[in-house]
Amino acid sequence: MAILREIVAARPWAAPLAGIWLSVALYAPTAAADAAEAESFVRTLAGDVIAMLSDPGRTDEQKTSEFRSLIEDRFDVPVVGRFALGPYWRAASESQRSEYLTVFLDYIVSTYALSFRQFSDETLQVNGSREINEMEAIVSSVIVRPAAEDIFVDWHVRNTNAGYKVIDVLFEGLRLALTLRDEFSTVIRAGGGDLGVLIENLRDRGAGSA
Amino acid sequence: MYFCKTIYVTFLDDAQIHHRCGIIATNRSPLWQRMGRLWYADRWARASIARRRHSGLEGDPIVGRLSTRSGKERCVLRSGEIMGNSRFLLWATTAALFVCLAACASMPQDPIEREVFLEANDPLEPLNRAVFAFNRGVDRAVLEPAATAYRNVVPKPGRVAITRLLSNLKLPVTFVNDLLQLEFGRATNTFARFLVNSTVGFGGIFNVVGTSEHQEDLGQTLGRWGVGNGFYLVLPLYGPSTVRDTMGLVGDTFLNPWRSVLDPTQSRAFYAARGVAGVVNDREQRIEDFNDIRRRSLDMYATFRSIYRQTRGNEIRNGAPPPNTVFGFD
Repeated sequence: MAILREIVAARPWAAPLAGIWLSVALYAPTAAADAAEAESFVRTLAGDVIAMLSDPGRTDEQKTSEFRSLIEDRFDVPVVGRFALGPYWRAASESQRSEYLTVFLDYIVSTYALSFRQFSDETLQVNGSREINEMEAIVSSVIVRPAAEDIFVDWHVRNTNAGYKVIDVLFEGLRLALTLRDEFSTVIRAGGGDLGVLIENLRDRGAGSA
Repeated sequence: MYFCKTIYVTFLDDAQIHHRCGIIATNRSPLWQRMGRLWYADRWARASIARRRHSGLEGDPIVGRLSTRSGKERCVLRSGEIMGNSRFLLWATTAALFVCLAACASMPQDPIEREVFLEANDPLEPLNRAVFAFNRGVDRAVLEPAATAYRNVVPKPGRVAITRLLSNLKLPVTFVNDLLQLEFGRATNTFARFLVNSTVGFGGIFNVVGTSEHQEDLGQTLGRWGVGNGFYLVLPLYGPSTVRDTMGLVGDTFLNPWRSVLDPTQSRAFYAARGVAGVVNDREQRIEDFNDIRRRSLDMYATFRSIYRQTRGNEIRNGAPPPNTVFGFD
């Protein structure tokens, strides 16, 4: 909603146009339902993560392994992984792809679990969502931290056969999947176009998360 | 630099006789010709000084005068000043040549490699990486310790005040760029902020008008009007940029009113102080982000490149959603 306000403030003439667009959009019954579902999916996901992390009864190892199963469950890891690999995905063999996806998940878990491990009295507020197409939406939220500045996080979710899945996360407007894609392709290119170089790199970083 | 007009150089030799050295440059002379002639003039001047010293004359002589064709004196040169002014250009030319010959990564043959190469949009990667490494070295040696010290010494309210003061100084440039982007609502906002914060808010230390803070520069304005990023560049000491943003950076210095308000000495001191404070203050705010990136990243160069481009994209769209967030495969 903050984004909407920003747009309206910047371009006052956009408001009536948006009004027309919105009234058309709201008549599509599936669209409205999807947005609410997507938002509640993100709320549940955040609730689960925060509940798990702030539980003093769990050890760090337990937390990491639960974080891992949460990501496996709520993220569409193959889609994110495939996007992050960029054009090299097409060149990869079937066995390389599956090996890559395994170490990719390890890497995500080990790098991100670490930064969320210190979370305790943080809360996540969902601020609304916008649709990308009939399957996908971006849910805007903010992580409110009592001791530090708020973090704006947007969740790009897709409605799949197995329910909603996250396919990208935007921290302060920076797309995680895109950042990974830029990084990965640079590492592979520097390694002479060898996917194995990236896999080794990811394995090094991801060690200890499995 | 004395390159805009037809310029003659004359030298006084030890007998106080004027020697005309010749036309240094016309506004049509190619750069290499100007360079060659300046070099020639410099040699002449040095020889003249040496002869003067040899014959026992004291002091630093005036060795040359730059004058236009009509004889109007432009400038008096003292020993060594000719090449002093042109040495920068010499280095710039050499560096540019070096870049073109050595640093341009060539387009790969393999179709997939080519796709990746085009997506990265970084043909100067080898050179950029070298500059990046240099910048990292400076950061490790100077900037990071300075930022940490700043954080330890200045308490949080003080740092907030300094941040506000610095961002208030950027508002005139933001204002002009708001206008150039035809964002009149934002321009009014910026103008009011600057006016009120500079007066009632003691130069911005107290953020009286606390409405939407935003920052605009010429790079963003160009982007807003459809100028693409151009390839990626890492500028020495400054950091990530692109062709477009570098052009904007140069243009912004002309939009800055402080230069015309202050006299040259003051303005130099002011810019130096603001530059140092800005850099340290900025780095202090990024200590955590920086450590995060260092911990996560497989290749910091690529991460910074990606983050820079995405941030700039967001800034140019003024917070509007990106036009294409659809998850394209591969």
